[in-house]
Amino acid sequence: MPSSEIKYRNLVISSAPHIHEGRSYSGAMYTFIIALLPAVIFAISRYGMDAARVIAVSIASAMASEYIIQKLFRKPVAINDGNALLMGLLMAFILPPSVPWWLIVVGCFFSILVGKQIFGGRGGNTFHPVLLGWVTLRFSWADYINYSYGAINYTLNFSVEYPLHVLKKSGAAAVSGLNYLDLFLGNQVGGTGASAVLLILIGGLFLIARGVISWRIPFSYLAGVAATASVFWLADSAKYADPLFHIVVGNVMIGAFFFATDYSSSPANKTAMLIFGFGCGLFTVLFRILSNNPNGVFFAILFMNILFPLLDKIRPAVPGKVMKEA
Amino acid sequence: MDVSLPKQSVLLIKKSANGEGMPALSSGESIKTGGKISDAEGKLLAYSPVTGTVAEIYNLPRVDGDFTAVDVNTSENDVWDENCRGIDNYFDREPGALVSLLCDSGFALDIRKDERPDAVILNCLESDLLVSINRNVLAEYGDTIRRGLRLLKRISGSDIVIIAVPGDLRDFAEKVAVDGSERIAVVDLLKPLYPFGMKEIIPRALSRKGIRRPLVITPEYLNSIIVFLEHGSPPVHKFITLIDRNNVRINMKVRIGTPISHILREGNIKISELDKLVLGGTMRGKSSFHAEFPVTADIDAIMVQDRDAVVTLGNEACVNCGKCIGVCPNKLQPHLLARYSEFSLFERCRDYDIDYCIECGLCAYVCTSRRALVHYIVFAKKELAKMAKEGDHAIESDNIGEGLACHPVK
Amino acid sequence: MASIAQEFTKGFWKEIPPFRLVLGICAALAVTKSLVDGFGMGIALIFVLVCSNIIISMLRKVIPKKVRLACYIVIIATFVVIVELITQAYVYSLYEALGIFIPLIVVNCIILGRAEAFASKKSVLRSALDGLGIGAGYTLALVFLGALREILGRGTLFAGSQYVINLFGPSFKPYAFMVEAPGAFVCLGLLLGIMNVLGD
Repeated sequence: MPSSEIKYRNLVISSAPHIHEGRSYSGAMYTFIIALLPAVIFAISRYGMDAARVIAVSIASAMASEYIIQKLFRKPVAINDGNALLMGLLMAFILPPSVPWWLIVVGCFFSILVGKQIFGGRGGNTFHPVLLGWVTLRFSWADYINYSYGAINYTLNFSVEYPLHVLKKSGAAAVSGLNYLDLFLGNQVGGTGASAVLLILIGGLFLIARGVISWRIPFSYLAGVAATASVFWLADSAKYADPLFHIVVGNVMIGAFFFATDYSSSPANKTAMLIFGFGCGLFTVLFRILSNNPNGVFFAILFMNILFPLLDKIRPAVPGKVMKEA
Repeated sequence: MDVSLPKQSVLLIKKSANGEGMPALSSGESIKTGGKISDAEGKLLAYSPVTGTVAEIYNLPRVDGDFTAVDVNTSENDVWDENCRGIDNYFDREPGALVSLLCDSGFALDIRKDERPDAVILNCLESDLLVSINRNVLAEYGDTIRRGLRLLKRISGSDIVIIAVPGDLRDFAEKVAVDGSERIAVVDLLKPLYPFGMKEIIPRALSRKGIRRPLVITPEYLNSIIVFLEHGSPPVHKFITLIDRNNVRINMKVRIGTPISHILREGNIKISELDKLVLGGTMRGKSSFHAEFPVTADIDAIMVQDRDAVVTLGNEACVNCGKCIGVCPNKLQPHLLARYSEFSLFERCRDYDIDYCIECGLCAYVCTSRRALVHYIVFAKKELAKMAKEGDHAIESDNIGEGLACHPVK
Repeated sequence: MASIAQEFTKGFWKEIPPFRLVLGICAALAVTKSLVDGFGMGIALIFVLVCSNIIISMLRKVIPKKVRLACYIVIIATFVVIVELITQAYVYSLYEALGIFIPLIVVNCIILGRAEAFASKKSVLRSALDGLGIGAGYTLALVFLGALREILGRGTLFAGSQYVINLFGPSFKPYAFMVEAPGAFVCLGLLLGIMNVLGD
């Protein structure tokens, strides 16, 4: 019967496919947050209310910044997608527990404004927003976010000096006495949550198991750190620390699993992911050893963030195309 | 399950872009089953699937293009057209003549004299999820298919005949592959995974590698070729899988032209507002805006999706997570293609091999941001085709200064 | 044709150089560590711009078309040397602060741009007013940028002069990032964005 006579039934029209795997962006973000929860508990149990304060202020200011900026930019407010919450949590994780509240607020605001929303919001950021915020803090208030200074007021059952500061100041001999297992279990000075190396690793493996991130970036990151540190160590083991030390201290774990794997600031092609991760590891060790800055993780990731669109040009050949050209 | 003949049947004829495809029929004219329907110049457009009188001819837009629809009031006793006669000794005919005969009769067989296929692949996997036509046809019409394979082997001139089946159909496939004491085909057991059943993918899924120019055919199609040669009857039936809102499947044999509403009634499925009616399977089917469309030869399944199960794919920003790259069977970058398409950079789409996208839908299935990736890609393809048709020489000029740009070999 | 008043006022909003024309960015980024530096740079630029506009406008029928850029550069460079020597003689601290950016006024896009686009076509009076307006607009922008960066990055105003005001008291921990080079880029970018939102 002609279409004019057809009783339209208001059926839904959409393009194929008609089913979806069921995951969503906010689901991925909340999985990230769940993966960080063990370290949150660890941080609160170790540093008490100070850690809780840092985490709460950080999350609150990140989400408030997101809300205000999205209102200002007349964008749909999407603070419930979990990204701002994750950014706040990550910011809290890499700051020492003693930082003043205003520093966290400034860092989070800068992260969300310049790091994320200026680039176009979700999916647009070329750099990891939190690291961009951290860099401005590092420029402005280096003493406040210094891990060694931050731990002075706590009674801890281990050295209150940041292992990488020890390495920079006193050389490899000074850190050779440290128990790596102890460091790995989280008995080291560092960021509020980032120093719980084992728990961060477990969280990262959970993310990989859930399929939220690919194994390629974190494992090639660790491989990059190990390989580069090995080269120096084998050349002069008295002067340079061994690769295992470089892996267990100073944010490498959280950098590899939670910062380098940020969706929009890391490559999407598989080969590119491997190169990206390895490059992060390489520059982490190079920054640590060759620059006068003891910590290299965040600068290395930011540096590779610049390169990632270029790396993403490395793409596999299309199988059908090879077939026709042959 | 056989679906009864509806009172009124609709014959859909695809319109070509320049407005051709108007059948030389008038209201009140009587047609017979299997009768040729031609346009004014005598070009074959379709075969009539039913016997009856033409009620009305009108335009009918479907999601994938414009069609001419012919409403036919069917009569209950089928009368076959007198021109439908089988071909005696078709097997002994000269291959080239047989191919051109089949092509003139409306069958699409990709056998060219200068470029013979290097293998014949009988694709018994399904073209989409939840569809189960080919396996049933293979099980039911084994003898016909065996004859068909022999014929294809002869007319294609290829020694390699592969029956690609899922593991549980091994026995049926072996029966088809062996003719008396002679083995005419090898059986390749494949995992019944999507999208192995797509004709572009199946040559790569086989255990035999190095097949460059395969002739891929489904059992259903092969069956209809042999029936046409032996009895002269063009395909008037179609096997479809009816999928209801709980994913319960019914396999049906339907007369082409039967309105979907009739099939739904026979299959006891009710459809209400805001449900989705999909012509085809879950991954590649096209949704339809009403249920009066007829079954055509290219519809493998009819799916009714509940309003609560309808998935909304939209245009949230891509977050570059890389999931789509991981699942793309052709190793494309669907996220980039969709982004270029979104911002009208269609030439960049071509640089990223959009022509090799087979629209399997896997990228959109896994998309973290739930973007309608396939929709964007299909849109870009259409725009590119439009540009090529308009004689737009932007492709050549675009190449200058982009030494790295590579275009697929045509 | 725009009125004579408009030639002067357009530089303050409609064609304010760093934000609307995005010209003179190099100096705008480098010398706006404090308000006073920005102001000094602006004054130097006004002087050079007005003088060179007047001279070029006077000579616009004499200068041959083919070598006009060389002629403009010679005229501009003359005034730049005058400015450089004056600052060196009388405000040495400013000369130190601005450093290489005073000689670099020679190749400042604003001056060459005004000479090419305006002074070489219009009358002397209009050119002088145009130079004054654009220069004042540039000074305004530099002062604003410098003030913003100085307040955030040091917590002071008018640093480098005898009228230093400490805005937030001694307990203030300045956001030193803002006086660094990246802070200048971020600040200028945000201001450009705000200008685009505000529109004409």
